[in-house]
Amino acid sequence: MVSPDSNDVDRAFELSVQAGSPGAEIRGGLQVRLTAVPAASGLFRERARTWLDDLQWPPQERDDVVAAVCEAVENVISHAYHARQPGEVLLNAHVERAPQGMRQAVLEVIDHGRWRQAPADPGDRGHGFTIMRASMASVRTVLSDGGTRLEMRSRSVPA
Amino acid sequence: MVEPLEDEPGEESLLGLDTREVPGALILTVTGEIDLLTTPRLRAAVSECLDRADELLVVDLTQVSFLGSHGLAALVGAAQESANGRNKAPLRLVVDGNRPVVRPIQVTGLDEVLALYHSVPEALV
Repeated sequence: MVSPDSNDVDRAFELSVQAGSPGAEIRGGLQVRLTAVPAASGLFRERARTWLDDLQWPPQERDDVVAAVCEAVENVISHAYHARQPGEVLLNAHVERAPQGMRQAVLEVIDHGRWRQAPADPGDRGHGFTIMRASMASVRTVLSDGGTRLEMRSRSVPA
Repeated sequence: MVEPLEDEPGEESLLGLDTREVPGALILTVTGEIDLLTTPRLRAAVSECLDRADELLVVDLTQVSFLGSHGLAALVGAAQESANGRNKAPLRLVVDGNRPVVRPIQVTGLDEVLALYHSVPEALV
């Protein structure tokens, strides 16, 4: 079998993983910042999955959040894929109280834009956004001069 | 915090691609995660198998633990290659009830496009 592209693996070094930032959230937050290369995709999934497991998120809802995070991150990465110097992609996540004793994961995937190239294949992009919308309660893209921020809220799960 | 990556994404991103021949068909068993990193290897393996298979190619996805949009696009591309190519074997996908694979296929409506089966024996009939 062919091994993963070692260049990609080498370049996807992780800059920071922090847990526990305070705020409106009811439990500790997650922050992951990685170089936007394909090898980063699996790391984002692993970090999100571990975070949700620690929060005892229901497995199917956890898998859906992980799938949405992966599509959001891969959307950034595939735009950056042909850039000479890929930028970074950042995941911020926290948990908020929801009505009736429920809770929601609130996630944002951020890139800083300038290194981004032409959009990926529209077919891929379409499937990716379809999966995100089917997996989360809401998905919103915010464009700014500095880049793009994708905001997602999970479906509510019991606290 | 900088962590060494050598052994980090490896396990998560490993994709297993095993083939075996049975009378009348070639079976490609896929294990692991199909994402942006691993999709090109899956696509290449399926193309190679479509050339190799005489009568039928069965791709077993029941042990795949993640399938993303790039992998979906690759499977659709392979299905089109199978349907439109000259002397290409038919392509059948075994997914059973494997949610990480079935859910992205269903929410994107691609269950209308892909030939899905519950088990390898069912796909071989």
